[in-house]
Amino acid sequence: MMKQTVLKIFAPIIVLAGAAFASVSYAQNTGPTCSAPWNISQTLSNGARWEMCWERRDREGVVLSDIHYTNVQGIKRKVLAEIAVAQIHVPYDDNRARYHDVSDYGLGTSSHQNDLAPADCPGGQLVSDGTKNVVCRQYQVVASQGVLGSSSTVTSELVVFSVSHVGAYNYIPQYTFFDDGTIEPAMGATGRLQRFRNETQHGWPMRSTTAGNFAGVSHLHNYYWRLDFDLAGDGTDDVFEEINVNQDSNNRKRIDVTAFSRETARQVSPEKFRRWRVRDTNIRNNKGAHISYEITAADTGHRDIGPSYEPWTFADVYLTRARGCERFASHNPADSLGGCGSNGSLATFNNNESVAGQDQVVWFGLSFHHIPRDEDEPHMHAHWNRFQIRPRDWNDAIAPTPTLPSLVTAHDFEVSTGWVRDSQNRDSAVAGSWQLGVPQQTLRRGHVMQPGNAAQGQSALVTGLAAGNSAGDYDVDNGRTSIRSQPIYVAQGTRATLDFSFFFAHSRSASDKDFYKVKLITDSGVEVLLYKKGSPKFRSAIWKKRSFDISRYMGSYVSVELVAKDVDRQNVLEAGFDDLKIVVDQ
Amino acid sequence: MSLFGMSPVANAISCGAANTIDRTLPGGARWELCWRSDDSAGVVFSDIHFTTETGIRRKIVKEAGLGQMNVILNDNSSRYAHVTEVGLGGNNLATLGYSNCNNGTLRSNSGRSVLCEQVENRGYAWKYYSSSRQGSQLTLSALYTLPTGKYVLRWIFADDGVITPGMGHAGNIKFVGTDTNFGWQVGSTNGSTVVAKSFAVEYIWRMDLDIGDNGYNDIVEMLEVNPDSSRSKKFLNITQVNTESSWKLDPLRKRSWRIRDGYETNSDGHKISYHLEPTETGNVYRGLSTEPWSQRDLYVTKRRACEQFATDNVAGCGRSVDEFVNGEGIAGSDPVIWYRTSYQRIPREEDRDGFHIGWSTFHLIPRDWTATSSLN
Repeated sequence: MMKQTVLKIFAPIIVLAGAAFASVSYAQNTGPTCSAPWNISQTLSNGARWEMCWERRDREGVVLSDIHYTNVQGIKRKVLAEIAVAQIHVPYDDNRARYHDVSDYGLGTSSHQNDLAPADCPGGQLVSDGTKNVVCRQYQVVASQGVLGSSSTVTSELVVFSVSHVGAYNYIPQYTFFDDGTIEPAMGATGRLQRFRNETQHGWPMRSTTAGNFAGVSHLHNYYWRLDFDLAGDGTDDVFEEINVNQDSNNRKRIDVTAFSRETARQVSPEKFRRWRVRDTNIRNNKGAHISYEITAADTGHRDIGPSYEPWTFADVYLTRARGCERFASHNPADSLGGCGSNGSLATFNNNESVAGQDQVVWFGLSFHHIPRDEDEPHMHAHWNRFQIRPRDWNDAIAPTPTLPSLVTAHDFEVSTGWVRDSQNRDSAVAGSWQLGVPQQTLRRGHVMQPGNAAQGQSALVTGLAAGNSAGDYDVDNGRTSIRSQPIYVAQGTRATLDFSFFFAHSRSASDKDFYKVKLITDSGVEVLLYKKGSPKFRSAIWKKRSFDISRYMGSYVSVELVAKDVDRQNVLEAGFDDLKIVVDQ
Repeated sequence: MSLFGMSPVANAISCGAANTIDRTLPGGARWELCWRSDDSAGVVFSDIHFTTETGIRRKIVKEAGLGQMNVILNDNSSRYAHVTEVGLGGNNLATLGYSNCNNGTLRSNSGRSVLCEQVENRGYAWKYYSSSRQGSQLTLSALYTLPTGKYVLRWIFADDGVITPGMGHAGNIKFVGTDTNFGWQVGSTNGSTVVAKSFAVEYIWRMDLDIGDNGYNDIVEMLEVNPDSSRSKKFLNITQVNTESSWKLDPLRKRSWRIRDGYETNSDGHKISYHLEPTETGNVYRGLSTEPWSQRDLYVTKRRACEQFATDNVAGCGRSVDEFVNGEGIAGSDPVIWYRTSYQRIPREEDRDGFHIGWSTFHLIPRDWTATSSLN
């Protein structure tokens, strides 16, 4: 996209002791204007937000556009005008097939776009274009990277993917949007092998050699993406830079940054830790650094330089002036949007045009060379290529500011929330174990032992829901019963409180050996929030509320555990729990 | 009994309940292994066995861990050899809590929770038109608190047999200076320049694979794909490695290595193997002449007890892994693979609140382990 209006907000001047006055401009954008079902917006666990539009095109398949990131300080800026798969070039090692799947077959045609089923999108949401479920969007809280401790215990991400089947291959173009502003474009390849032959010099034996066509033919997947950056809404003031780390004569590794003012073709260089960035020449963060997005690829283990007639394979990264008709890394058709010749490629788009003051496009290529293996039949496991575009000096650090609403975790026990009975394998009660549901009232000598209602809604956690023939049925007997929540994350904030409702009741044969405890299981140990002991008199069941400050557990996980114990069988003892809320003020 | 195509009965692993991981994934694939905390190398895994969903149980790894971990500042002002200088074990292996191990199980060493065991969904195992299968994985993680930052050890064991070892760097900015040639300016508001220094982390993994029931008949092969003169065709070339050797990565030839059993085959008659295919090689640290080991990326050596550390090795053997390669034959021996990965950190303004985790990973992929996919 070309120029867009940039809303400049001049923030109050920041005054530091002894510091000079500095004016700071936060460029903000208004966000994408598409409507359902073409709009994808997601707020993440740290308060950051992604917004974008999607569409389905015959050749590129799903294309994402107008991608905006709102950081935790609430500053919303455009990152990309558009990102699309620009080619999947598949030359086979025996040179008997060289496919251009995106331009020549198309990822998005009605015969190639996969109609996703709910099983394709676990925990996510399918989005239809009116004919098919084209997109799966998933919001994921990432646990496996949460081993960090301190500030970054939990990260969250939005995943957007689709599937296109071209021949025997099923491709999975996928984009992951992280809460720190990072975008990871990826391509998965799965399905079945396309080609088999009778010889192994270009492939791998997969069946008995007495069978015909026993060897899977090795091949490349040369993936290309087309990225039209419009940092802060305007691509014409962006500059493309290459960062190299070069060894100097004093055995030091020096960071060198080179800006490009003309179209160029570049190769990866792992030994120079080479990476690229797109930098806005006008907009700065509030520390005075120009905002930028850095492009890195860990995934460069396979590269390929092809034959002379495939010159687009000679480089990995291209910078070109943005032209609407230059859409595909190879086999660019003349019909695409008019103005380009037929059969163009990155090698012809890259013709030394000046990009100064122009909207620019970055093309990124990754390769996967697939030597088949026995395991690729009947179905190939999904193998992935990915790269990252990551904010560099886009934000003023990443900590949230106190402008966000309170974060609430609520268990109202109207539906199961994953509490586990006897999680420590220590329970001994022979009756009256914790249950989720609607309690039935019981009385003993006019005293309510179990109420006939929940504290809130219809349902609660109660020891033995049923009434039975007398209050002594379905109460806790001869030992303890426990139930524990899954770990609940207490987010960072200014204050965290935990509220719940409970009741505790017993007949007059109770003793101080009987009890009801509500415990908090934390990283630093067990804290008892509520400890009610039995006594030799009637205690009636009445729902009560309790509230606790648990700010000391912000940034960590807690589990709530309920334990009720009745040492004998004669005594009636009942306990209940409802309406758990953990509120973190921001 | 060891007929071709038959899998000999593998022994149960025996390292005691506290040090045993035995996890059956939702589809029925099972991983069994031993773990321990070594004072130098940190968490070391051994006796790794995989049972496919189709019930084939075999040993893959005798022992695997870090052989060294070097941190080198770009301005050459400091360098660290963490495994041999401070060690990754002992108190440098951090205590973990629930907040480090969402929905997982914490495993203890000397009374402290130090290893997180998680079972996670991993998305598509495969997809084909209207059919698909989701996959799952066992993830084992630990956290090291070291002078140069926090480091996460993470091994992923997938239900299709793929093993993904990795190390991630995180933590806070530790090194600041003033020269932007060797770092990145952060946090400047009042005219004074604060430069967070750039540095490289070099991980050298030491892996003793034992494919099948016996590590002494394993064969190391190097795979390369060479183009013809017109670059239109490519030819697969497999070289058996008979003596200790070392190589650089070669992405254009797609250079890779596999360890295959000398005689054991799958039911198609193909030798079973695990394949180390370098894919995540975006950063490759090459050091000074005083760091000769950093000129190569993969080393194959004959197993020797005194060849413990890839650099700053114990006395009585070569000083570093490049010196371990001295012409010994490895055929019929128990080869050890040393694989080097790197990560270059160029700090950003965003890192002032803590670095985003920077991963350095690779894959060990079963090749002809089964005659067809074990995930249906």
